[in-house]
Amino acid sequence: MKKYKVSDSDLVSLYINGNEEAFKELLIRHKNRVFTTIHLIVKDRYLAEDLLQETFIKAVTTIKSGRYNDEGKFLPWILRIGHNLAIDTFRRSKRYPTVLMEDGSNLFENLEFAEPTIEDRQVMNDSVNKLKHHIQELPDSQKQVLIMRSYLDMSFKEIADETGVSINTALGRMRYALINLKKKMQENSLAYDKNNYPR
Amino acid sequence: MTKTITRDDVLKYIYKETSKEDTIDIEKQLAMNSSLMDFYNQSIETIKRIQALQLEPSDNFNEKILDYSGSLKFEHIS
Repeated sequence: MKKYKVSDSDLVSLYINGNEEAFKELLIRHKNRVFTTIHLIVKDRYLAEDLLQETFIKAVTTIKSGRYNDEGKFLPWILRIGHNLAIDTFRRSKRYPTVLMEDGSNLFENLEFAEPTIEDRQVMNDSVNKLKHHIQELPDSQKQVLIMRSYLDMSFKEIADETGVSINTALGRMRYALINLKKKMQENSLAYDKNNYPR
Repeated sequence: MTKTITRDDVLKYIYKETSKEDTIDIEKQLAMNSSLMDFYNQSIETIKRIQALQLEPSDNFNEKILDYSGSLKFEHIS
């Protein structure tokens, strides 16, 4: 994690004492990390932004009402709020009925794959967005461990406790997530080479 | 006797979740086992890319939250 001159803990103390600039600094420091975590889970930029807003509003309300008590660990605390909101939303969205094709796949996923918009094409050309897309497309169980370990900074023991599996299962899921991502990134670079050097 | 090191042990090593003793064992075996070393290098490369991934909300996001914060009074100050 990045080291700053003024710690998060000091900024929270300043904020609690009425310094709004201190909160601005916390916001600037951490909004991208929280946004990335949420976006990777819900897969929709606008929804992610709504949830990010809800996350920071919850944080402000908790701190201003004097209920904040996180032993100086602001980032893990706010990441946890964002992560939980995203997971709740993701679970709710999974309850909506989906239209299935004969092969059992989701109609809308097929449409998206068959007919990418101009914007989709532009977005997919960007390597950052490709990585984002690959993470989002991982099986849920692998994505969950990857996000918890990489962005929420939870140990494999904490992840195992949180998700109700053994440490070995959590480790196995992380290993498969990394292997799958590596494979997808290699496939991408091969596709790029073929497009640039057609036979 | 040196115990057998698995890829999962290497993952724990990458994330600094191994004991001192296990760390020494893993480093020894990484030096001798090219397949484990490949896994280590590839994992490190992928993890670096994942951790460098930064998505940004829209430009007016700060303003919305700061406005909200400014409009809300601290309960203990008033």
